[in-house]
Amino acid sequence: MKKIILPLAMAFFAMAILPACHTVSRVDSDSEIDISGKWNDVDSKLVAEELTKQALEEQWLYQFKRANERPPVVIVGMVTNKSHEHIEAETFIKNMEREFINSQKVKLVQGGDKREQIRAERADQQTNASVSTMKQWGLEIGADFMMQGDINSIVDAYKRKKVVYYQVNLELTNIQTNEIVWIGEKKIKKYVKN
Amino acid sequence: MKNSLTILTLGVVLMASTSIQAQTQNPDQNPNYQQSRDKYMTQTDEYSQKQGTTEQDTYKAYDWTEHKEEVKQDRIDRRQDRRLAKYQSRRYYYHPHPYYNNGYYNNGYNYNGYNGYYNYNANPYYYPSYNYGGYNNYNSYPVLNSLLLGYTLYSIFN
Repeated sequence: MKKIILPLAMAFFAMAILPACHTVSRVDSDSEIDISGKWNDVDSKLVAEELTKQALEEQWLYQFKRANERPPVVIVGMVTNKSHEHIEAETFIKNMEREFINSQKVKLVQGGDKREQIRAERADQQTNASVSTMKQWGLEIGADFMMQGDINSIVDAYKRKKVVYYQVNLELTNIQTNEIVWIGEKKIKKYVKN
Repeated sequence: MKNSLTILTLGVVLMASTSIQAQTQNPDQNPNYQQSRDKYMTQTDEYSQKQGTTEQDTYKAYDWTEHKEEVKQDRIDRRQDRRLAKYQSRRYYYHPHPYYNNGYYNNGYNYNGYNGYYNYNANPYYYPSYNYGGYNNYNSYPVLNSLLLGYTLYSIFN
């Protein structure tokens, strides 16, 4: 009888402790793991790859270079997420920006809050930095194009089955002429069965 | 004489600079562009601060499993609310024999709160151990309790 009691007590203890246990393991950031079927890092990566390829290989870039003999300067505008899920566009936009800079085919200028910080620092330098290192006003590079985007989705669901379609569009508009010179598109379709 | 000459010279310089500016202006440019310029010059901060951000304008798509979960959660919440209301009403009006509280004995002749039976819950501190608030504190220490149980069983059978 005594022999049974100790394992029984141990079993009780294990049963109590088991639900509290969870495991965490590091996986390769390129590995494709889909759990719920919602928008995830794999989708973001696919969008970044496809749109970067389109942006750097299509006609607008060659036409601009031929006309101006310099790479175009792009500023990133706002992306509107009109889908059914919370999607942060910065994940793929940053990947694209990185590719633009690394390829040296497209120049980027800072916008939004970060640009405000830069200007604030420049203002600070006017009173605190030495004259030789102080940066001047009015010498920023003006962007030629603004990149804006939309994320849309269509959901078709019946009971446990669901088809989700995402369409991500980015477009470049000439700031001087308001002409849209490029529209990039990435479509993702998922079949989810719960 | 000198003053008038200076004014004349300044006037000529001003006219010349204006004409140079006019020459550099694109002939195809809309002459009313200043109106639009003035309008947007006051709004630049409003728009430029949103640069590089994602505006979330999402909609709610129907999802069968999510809908099922929501219905289930609603049911749980409703039951919880009902249970809570029941406990709260018991606290003040509970009587061990509901039959006596059905209006038959409680006929309005309730002098100074006495209706023939002691009202156990007239004093809210009489049953102070009710847990009105939570529902997930039945077993806050499962590990500790299991250890105690294991130790107790072990000591009983030894």
